[in-house]
This record gives sequence, C-alpha cells and structure tokens, in this order.
Amino acid sequence: MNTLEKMLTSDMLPSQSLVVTADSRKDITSAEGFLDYVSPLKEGLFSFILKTLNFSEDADDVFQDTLLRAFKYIYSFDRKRSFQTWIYAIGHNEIRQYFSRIKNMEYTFDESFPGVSSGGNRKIVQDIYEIAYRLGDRQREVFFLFYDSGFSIREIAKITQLKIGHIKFLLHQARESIKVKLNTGTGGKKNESVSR
Amino acid sequence: MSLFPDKNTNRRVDDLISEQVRSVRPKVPSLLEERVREALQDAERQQRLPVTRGWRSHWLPLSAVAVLLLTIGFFLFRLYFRRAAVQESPVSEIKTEFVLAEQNIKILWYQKKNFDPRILEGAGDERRR
Repeated sequence: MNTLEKMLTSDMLPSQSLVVTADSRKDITSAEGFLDYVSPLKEGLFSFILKTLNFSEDADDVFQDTLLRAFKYIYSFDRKRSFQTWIYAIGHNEIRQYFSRIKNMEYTFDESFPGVSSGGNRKIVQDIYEIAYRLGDRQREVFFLFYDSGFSIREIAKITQLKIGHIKFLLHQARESIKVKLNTGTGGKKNESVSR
Repeated sequence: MSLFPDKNTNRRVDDLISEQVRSVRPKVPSLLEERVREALQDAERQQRLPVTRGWRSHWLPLSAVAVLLLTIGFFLFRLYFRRAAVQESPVSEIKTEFVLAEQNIKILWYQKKNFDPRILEGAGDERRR
C-alpha cells in the first residue's frame, strides 16, 4: 500500500475526511520530467531492444534514439492512448530503420547472457534464445514483444502495424520451433520420451 | 528432462516460454543512462531557444529575394541582347539584275555590304570617308 492508502485505512483520520493530493510529477516536456515519466518503462524497453538486436552493442544507440525521438514528439502524444504502447511503437520504428541500414550484417550468436535469474534454466534459456536468434527480424521482434514485454496480440498489432492474423502466425511458428527443440531433450537426443 | 512433460500440464506453453525468456533481465548501463540524460538535456535546450535566433530566419527570405532579382535580371539581359542583335544584324550584299531584252537594257541593282539604311547616300559617304 502506498502512503495515501495507509493513511486512509488507519485510525489517524476521522471517518469522514477530505484528502487532497497533488501530482508532484515534473513537467513531462522537460528532460527531467520526461525521464521520470519513462523511468518505470526504460528497463523493459531496453530489454526488448537489446534482445531483438541479438544483444548487439548497437542496441545502446537504438535505445537512445528511441528516447530522443519520444522526447522530441512528446507534444504529439495523445494522452488518451497508452504511453507504453506509444513509446514501444517508436522503438519499433527505430529498430526497423536500424535493420534497413545493416541489411547485410552477419550476427554471431553469443551464448554469454547477462545472467539468468531465478526461475530460468540456463540450458533451456539458451535453447530458446538460439531459436529466437534464428528467426527473421520481424518475427523476432514480435516474439519478444509477446514473451518478454508481455503485450497482447492486439497491442502488438498497434505497435508494429501488422495484422493480428499475421502476428498469431509468427508466434505459432516460433512456439512450435521451441516445442520441437525442447521436446527432443538436451543434447539433441530425439528418442527421449516426452509423455510421463 | 523436457520442458513440456505431458499433454495434461496445467501451465500454458506461453507462460513457460515467457518465464524462461524473462529470466534474462539486462539492466540499462549507467553510462548509457548518463548519455541519454545529456542528450535529452541538449534537445531540451535546442527546443527552448527562440525561433528568431537562427541564421535561417534572416538568410532564407534574403536568399529568396536574391534569387528573384537574379531571375528578373537574367530575363532582362536576354531581352536586351536579343533587341541589339536584331538591330545590329549586318546588311547583306544584294545583287539584282533586270533585263529588258527588247530595248537592249540591263539594269543592275547592287547593294553593298556596308549599306546603312539610316544614312542618306550622299551625306553618309562623306562621313564614312
């Protein structure tokens, strides 16, 4: 519970009280205000960009460009919309521009992740990320928007401007690839039994 | 051991994949955060500068006027030289022959190259000498 909720539910106040709060957020059109506003989203946004770019160092530049562009066009943001969807759409556009610039670049899959936290099996995580690495750029983007950022298919359609049917198809393909890879067991032993 | 042990598992496949994917949680490096902060502050300063301070606000209309004057000057220049060229086109030498065979008369009309229609024949010859 936040401070306000604690106050309201405690015995400190009479049964009928008028509590006035002020929105102490800074002006969103200032650099500091904008950073405060974006702060809850920046880790998730960075994670999405970094993973979509296969942990490339260029993710730093794409992340910076995304925030700069969002700040530049903050006046055009419609407050009736979701800010998270809006800023991820900008991130999506920056990623698209990046891929169009480096079309012929070869990636190498780096198995040294930043670290697998609790809840993750390192070998399984590596297998999943290896499959994601081999997906097409657009499919990988949709994959991480769904599985990493937690957007719904409808929200992903707003962010990427793809049709819902297409997104479902891309996710289904990725999911099936993962199931096949992981159901064959560790070390690629195809004879391991799945049903127990 | 497989991630999907049996068909009757309660956990949805998507939840399992999400859990594994999110177990990798990269953090925004502090240097990058600092860089972003500085870039945003620069952008804020650029946005807050008054509109008239830029060189564009002075040079753009001036250059438009200059282009307009040059265009007018170019067309006037061409017009002037076209008139001069028409006026000063050299008179060609002309020879015309008339023959009256019955009277055994031949008339030869000859116009020299330096013929100037503006000057009368008598006075013009004296001036040219």
